[in-house]
Amino acid sequence: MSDIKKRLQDIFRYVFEKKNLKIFDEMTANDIEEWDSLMHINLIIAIEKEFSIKFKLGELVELGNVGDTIQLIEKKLMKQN
Amino acid sequence: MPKNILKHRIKNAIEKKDYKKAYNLTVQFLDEDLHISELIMLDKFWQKNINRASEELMLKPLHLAVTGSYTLDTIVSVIRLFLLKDGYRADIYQSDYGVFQQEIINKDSALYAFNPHIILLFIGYRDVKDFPSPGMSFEEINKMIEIETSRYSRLWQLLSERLTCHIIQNNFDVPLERTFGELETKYPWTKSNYLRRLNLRLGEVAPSFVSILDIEHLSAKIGKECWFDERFYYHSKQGISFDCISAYVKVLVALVKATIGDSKKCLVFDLDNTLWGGVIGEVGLENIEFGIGSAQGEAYLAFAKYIKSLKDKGVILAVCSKNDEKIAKEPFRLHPEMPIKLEDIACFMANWEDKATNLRRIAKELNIGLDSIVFLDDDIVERKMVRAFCPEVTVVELKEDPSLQPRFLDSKYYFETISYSKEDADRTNFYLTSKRLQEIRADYSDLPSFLKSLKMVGKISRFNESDLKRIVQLINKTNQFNLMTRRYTEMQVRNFMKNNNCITLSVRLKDKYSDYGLISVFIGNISEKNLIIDTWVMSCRVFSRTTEYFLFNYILYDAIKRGINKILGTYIPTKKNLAVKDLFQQLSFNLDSKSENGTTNWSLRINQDLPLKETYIKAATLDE
Repeated sequence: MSDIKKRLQDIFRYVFEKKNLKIFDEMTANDIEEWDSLMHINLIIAIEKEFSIKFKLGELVELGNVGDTIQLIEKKLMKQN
Repeated sequence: MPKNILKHRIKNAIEKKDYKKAYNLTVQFLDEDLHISELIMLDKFWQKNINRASEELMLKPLHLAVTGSYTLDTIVSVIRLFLLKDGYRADIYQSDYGVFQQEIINKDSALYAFNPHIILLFIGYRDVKDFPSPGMSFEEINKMIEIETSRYSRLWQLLSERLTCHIIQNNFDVPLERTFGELETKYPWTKSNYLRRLNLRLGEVAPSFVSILDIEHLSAKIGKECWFDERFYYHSKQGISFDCISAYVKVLVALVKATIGDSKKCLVFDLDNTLWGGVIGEVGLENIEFGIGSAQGEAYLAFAKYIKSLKDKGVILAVCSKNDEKIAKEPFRLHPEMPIKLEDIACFMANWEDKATNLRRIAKELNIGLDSIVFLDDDIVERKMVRAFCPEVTVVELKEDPSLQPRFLDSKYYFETISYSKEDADRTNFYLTSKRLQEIRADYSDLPSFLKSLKMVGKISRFNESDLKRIVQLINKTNQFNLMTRRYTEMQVRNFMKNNNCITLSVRLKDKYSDYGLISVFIGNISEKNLIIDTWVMSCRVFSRTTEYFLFNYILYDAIKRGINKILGTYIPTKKNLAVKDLFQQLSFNLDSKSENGTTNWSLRINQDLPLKETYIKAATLDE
């Protein structure tokens, strides 16, 4: 598992309060019962803090699945360096 | 302890129903730099078990309505959490997005059914729909301002007619973008200047039952770059950025507590290395760091000025220092730059005993609760001792750098109040006089001859418009001499005043040393020849002076004149009102019933043989 994916999994576990939660690339809001609009915001904020990045308005509205999110984070981190 | 471990411990403690532990950990957790999702989560943990938890932690119930023009869910969670931290169980009504005006106007709305103690109108600059066009005249702009502010006055009026609650409303946060750049300051029609004027006017027109929460100041304090997060406004109509919600809620909670009289009253400070640099007992008056001439000295001076300004606002000052009293007083008597004078300090404790004992003495001497004291000391050991032995006292984690103190203390909002009256400014003087009296009292062999020597003069009046502010303040602030601890808004008090079936009385007192102003309030309802005592409060400044007898004798005469058969009274015990537990017994009432929680009901039959009590207060004639 990549470092980013591992950190993202920790965020998911922390935000959704599920110690053993495993994320996978195709995972979306449909796969986690508690993933509602408020949790979506919580997730976005937690990711932004963890990686010190900012999503664009369009990105935070349509985050896509976990795989897309990881790619997006990677892209943003690359730009910073 | 890392955040995630702390969070799990809180969750576990709540699940195991160890609410005290969970509460202590929560207080610790809230000191961390938390993001909004963590706060929401914590609120969720607590809300699942709030019934049991609030019973065990003895949380005070509070009905709060949160309305406004933005999304409110996140703010509501954080408000609930921070109120819990301060000992309140907040039952929060939250109105739907964007309908607060309709809700206030419609008298059958759920808002009124909820009947809140306090209502928050969470708005911001986006609520201003009309802005002046460039070049508009002053007159036109003033007209616009009147129209805009009257929208809110009307809502306040409706709320105050239909509810007995206090209103807290945001003002307008000036946005970052300034089309006219630096010219924005020059003309009255620019967006920034218009919003500034609007804020000034809103503060002016707000009646006493409305407190304005100055988000224009708060957004500037935090930094407007951080205050606004446009993304989340467009995404889900968040009024302020998530990172700023805690800061906002801290101010709000301070205001909510001020509304119900739960603010700090007294600042107790240490001297050496707190008020000035150095140990005066070792280096002497000439060598302490204080005043212009050294960088540190200037910083200490600025802090002393800040403390003095707190005194002018009505905060009682007291000193608690391990020192020789005579030496410790020297800077206050002799240092030309010291803004705090001895007469500004209501209680001066400089000795070699432990500070916990001295703080208890200060509380006793000033007749205030330990829980209304804020304590400043640079010494970490002293702070620990006080925390351990006087847990009720608020101990400030003072900064090591004196230049940071004023800002730091100010950001704690300990002394928030919702009104200011002349009595506030004079408060320390009253305490000083009563302290002098305690000293004199020791010289008299018996209390009656002492009381006689004071030459006290009292004046009883019916409520009137000019006393109203002070009356409302007294009703809402008094904890000790307060039979039922009922709190009333200005509007409610005015209703009592206008009601012919109510007896509303206030007492002013002076003696040869001091004028104490309006110090006692009585409200009674007449119903079928019975006089039912609704409210009777008295300031603790005038305890043990037979003031209560002075007023009650008057009430007895008044009752006879009005043909009243019986006076009925109730005492509801709280942690703080033990002082009046036996009041009815002293006044010759009969105990009718006593309930499990300690509430007692009393009655007194009125006949020709009035049970008058001896008082040493002379009634004022008209000239007095």
